[in-house]
Amino acid sequence: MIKTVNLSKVFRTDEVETTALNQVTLEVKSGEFVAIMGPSGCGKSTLLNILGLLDNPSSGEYFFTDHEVSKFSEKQRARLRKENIGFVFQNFNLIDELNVFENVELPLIYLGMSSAERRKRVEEVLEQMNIIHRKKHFPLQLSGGQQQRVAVARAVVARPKMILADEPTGNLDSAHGEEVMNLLDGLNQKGTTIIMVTHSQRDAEFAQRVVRLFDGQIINENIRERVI
Amino acid sequence: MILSFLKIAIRTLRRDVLLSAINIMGLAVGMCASLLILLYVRHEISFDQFHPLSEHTYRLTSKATMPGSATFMTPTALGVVAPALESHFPQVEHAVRIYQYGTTEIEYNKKRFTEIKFFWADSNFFKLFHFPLLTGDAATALARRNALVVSKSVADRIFGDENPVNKTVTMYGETYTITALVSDPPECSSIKFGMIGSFSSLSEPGSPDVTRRDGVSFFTYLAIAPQADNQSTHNAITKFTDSLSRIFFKDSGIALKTGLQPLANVHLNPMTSLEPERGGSMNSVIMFTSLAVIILLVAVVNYVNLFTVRGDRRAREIGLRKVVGANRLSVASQFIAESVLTALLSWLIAMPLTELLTVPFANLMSIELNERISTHGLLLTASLAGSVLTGVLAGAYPAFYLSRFQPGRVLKRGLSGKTRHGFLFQKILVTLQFSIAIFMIVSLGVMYFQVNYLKKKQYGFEKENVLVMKDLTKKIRKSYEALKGELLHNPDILMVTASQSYPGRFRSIQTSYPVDKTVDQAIKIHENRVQPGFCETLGIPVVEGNSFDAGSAADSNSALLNQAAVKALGLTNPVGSEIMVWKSRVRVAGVIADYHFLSLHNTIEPLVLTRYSPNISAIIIRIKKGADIENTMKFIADKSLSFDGIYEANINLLDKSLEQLYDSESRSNKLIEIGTLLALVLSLTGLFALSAFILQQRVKEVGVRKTFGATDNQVLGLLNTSFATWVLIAAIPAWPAAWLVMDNWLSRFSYTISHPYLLYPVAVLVTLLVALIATLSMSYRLSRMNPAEALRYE
Repeated sequence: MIKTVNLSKVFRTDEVETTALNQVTLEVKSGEFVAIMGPSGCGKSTLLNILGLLDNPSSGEYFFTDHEVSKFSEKQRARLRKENIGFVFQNFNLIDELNVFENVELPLIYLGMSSAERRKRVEEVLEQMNIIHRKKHFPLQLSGGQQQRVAVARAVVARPKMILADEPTGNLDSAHGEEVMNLLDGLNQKGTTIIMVTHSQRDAEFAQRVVRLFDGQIINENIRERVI
Repeated sequence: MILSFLKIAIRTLRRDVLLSAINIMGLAVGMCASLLILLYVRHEISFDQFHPLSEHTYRLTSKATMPGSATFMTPTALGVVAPALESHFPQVEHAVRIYQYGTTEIEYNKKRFTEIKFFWADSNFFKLFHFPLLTGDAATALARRNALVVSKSVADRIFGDENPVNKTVTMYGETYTITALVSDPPECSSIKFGMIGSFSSLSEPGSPDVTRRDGVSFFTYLAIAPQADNQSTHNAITKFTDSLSRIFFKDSGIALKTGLQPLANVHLNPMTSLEPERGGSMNSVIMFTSLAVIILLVAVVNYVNLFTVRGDRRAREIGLRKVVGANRLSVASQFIAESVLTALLSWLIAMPLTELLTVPFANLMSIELNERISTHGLLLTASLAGSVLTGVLAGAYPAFYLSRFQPGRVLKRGLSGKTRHGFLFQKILVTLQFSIAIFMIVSLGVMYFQVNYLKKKQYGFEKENVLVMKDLTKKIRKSYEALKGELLHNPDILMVTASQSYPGRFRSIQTSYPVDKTVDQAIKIHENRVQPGFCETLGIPVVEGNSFDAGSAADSNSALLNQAAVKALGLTNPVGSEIMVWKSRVRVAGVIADYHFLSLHNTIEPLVLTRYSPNISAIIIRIKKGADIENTMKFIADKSLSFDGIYEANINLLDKSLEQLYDSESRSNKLIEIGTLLALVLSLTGLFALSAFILQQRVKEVGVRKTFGATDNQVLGLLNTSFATWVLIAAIPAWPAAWLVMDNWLSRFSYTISHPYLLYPVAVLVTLLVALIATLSMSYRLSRMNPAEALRYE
């Protein structure tokens, strides 16, 4: 599905130069569920942003479904992104001014889908996420767990090949967290590739493989056999 | 406490230098502009109030009804009225006549001085009006025959350093003695003069009394005793005056209805072209006051907006303060203190700025502003109080809105909880500014087109390449024919004529009726007594019959009527018919096309050109197209000198002086132009700062949208659509308001452009453009942001 070779990312401000990623080489196969772990500031989110085509690496290569995309422009990345990738964030990143339905509908609008088709798809996925009764509510009227369900619904509505989740349970209590993890697991079962950044060992156990990052480098890759 | 507030206020100002500068300067500039306009308005409404008796002084006005029921208003009365009122009514303390308000020329020491503002006045003139005498006795200065009072500036011109009192001068062949020196009438006086002659000089032994000879030609002022200044006295006075006019006009069929106009109203409510001084207009005063209010409103709205938007950003700070023990009141007072302090800074800048700009502004408006903001206690205190109020107002919103939030919530997520209706208050204010901007642009456009239309409008004669020589002396008038012969030697001079009136300046209104009808069927008609070649020189087409036939025996009693006059008189075969013009019987030689002999504020009224009088007051000269105007003027002036060695010729281009008839509109336009520009710039800076804040709030949204596939341009469109929406919403109140106001304004003209509806969308487009200029750079940058960056920023 994706492959990086010697991927590096350096942030420069006037005074300091920070190497967020250092020569990261990683491959994720289609249908895999990979967890990325590591302490705060080790470069997990930076890696996820690059894998999600939200940002370009400073050097190295990035193959997305066999295309080298590390030098893509924002316009090209935007096209690949909307067609292939769904995102779930720790802080949900719902748009407060849009209601649940409209938030979930957003990716479909940018795909240029007709309004009838959009309605069908959104209702389907809201049903699936068990949040359809809240579709007219605004994010701030929902609990954290509900908000994250909406965010997951938004991530999957366009039927992406891959979902990137950045600490999806980080802002949730354990019950709601479990609920979200089950949703992601279900999606993975149906064939969606999932890459998840997490601090939580429990969440990591849902993954088939755990990649450990430290100071921008991969220090360890564990392949876990799933216990069902 | 106060010290701590001050410290925070100054630090907050310094933290955002650009925003603070926009905030402070915007309010300062707005204050300055509206103060300047208010100074002008005050100047306009303060006319004639320097006379101690002003409050109880009135001018008589007459509404004359002609035999044919045509009416006209004049600010004058019969000459017999003033003395009769004074002797008949004990309530009338003083009654003063002013007669032949115009200009004069005098000779002193073999030198001639022309263009001296002059009138004759009753001896009690200085009792009613407060024009302080520098030397001489107010009680007797105008008592004697052939007495003249001279103003300081004219005295300086004529006598230099000499003491003018008791000097003798010659005026129209008669000798007069200067009896007093008076200070110049102030700028805000509706009565202006360089010299005043004693009324008694007019009664020559053996000749008929001037009040008999001349009808309703006397400006008459009354001072009524304060305790008797009431409606019943007014009624008694007008009733008595009307009865006097019935006696005066008993046979003519003319009826007069007298009115009393308060002296303080004279300047702003001028009556027809018969006013001796160019008056102001109540409409402009209202218009300018509104302009001042609008500019101030825009500036205050800006201020409130910029201040509150900054307050929103400080939600976290407030949360923290509350956590460490601040209560609502102390948070609120901190905001108000900060805001008031900032507003006071603006005031401190606005005052010297106003002081500095007063003179240039007065020059622009062609007035003299004697008042200064620094010496004007009322405006000074009012503006100070106003800025404190603005400060309180601007501080109140964040003070009470932000201090309400629960600290925990605000600390956790700032004010994001309110963003669904986020900035609603500020958005409403910005929309209000846009409304004002659209309104102003439409108004300015309509005014511009109208004034331009008037300037370009066809007058019905050829106004280009015509010179008018005014202020003729007796010698010049007498040698007109010879001078004309001399002038025609110049190949650049094509035709020369002369007349009493010329286009744009008409004073003579008469009654007229066909000889086969009776006087009670008379119409009101403008008369111009002209010399041969008048129509030809001005290019007025003769549509029926012939022009004047110089030299023929019948010429001196022939007349030309315009088409409006033919219609009003009901003549079916005008040429050859005979009509009465006042008391002269004339034969209609031809009909001329209707042309505008007055300004385009008026419709074309009946006009008769007559030939029976040799009196002229202007020489009209047509020059060759493309002729060197300056040289030709010099040639005319030189030739005139050979007939009157001390004559200073006053020559103007006719089309230029016609344009001056719209001076007041042009000046209004200039002011409105500056005002509109200012309102736009203020709105622009306000929007610039506000959009920065609003866009900052949308960074996360942009990140999310881009993450889920929005392209840069989609984001850019989205961000700017919301700003554009405000502008479109702003048009909803602005359009009807502009239409109402401008329709009303246009209705004051007899000739108007059709309402330029295209301006309305154009105004919205211009405003939209301004809004885009303000927001585009920031929204562009935001739309180009990497989504990862945008989300990290959040």
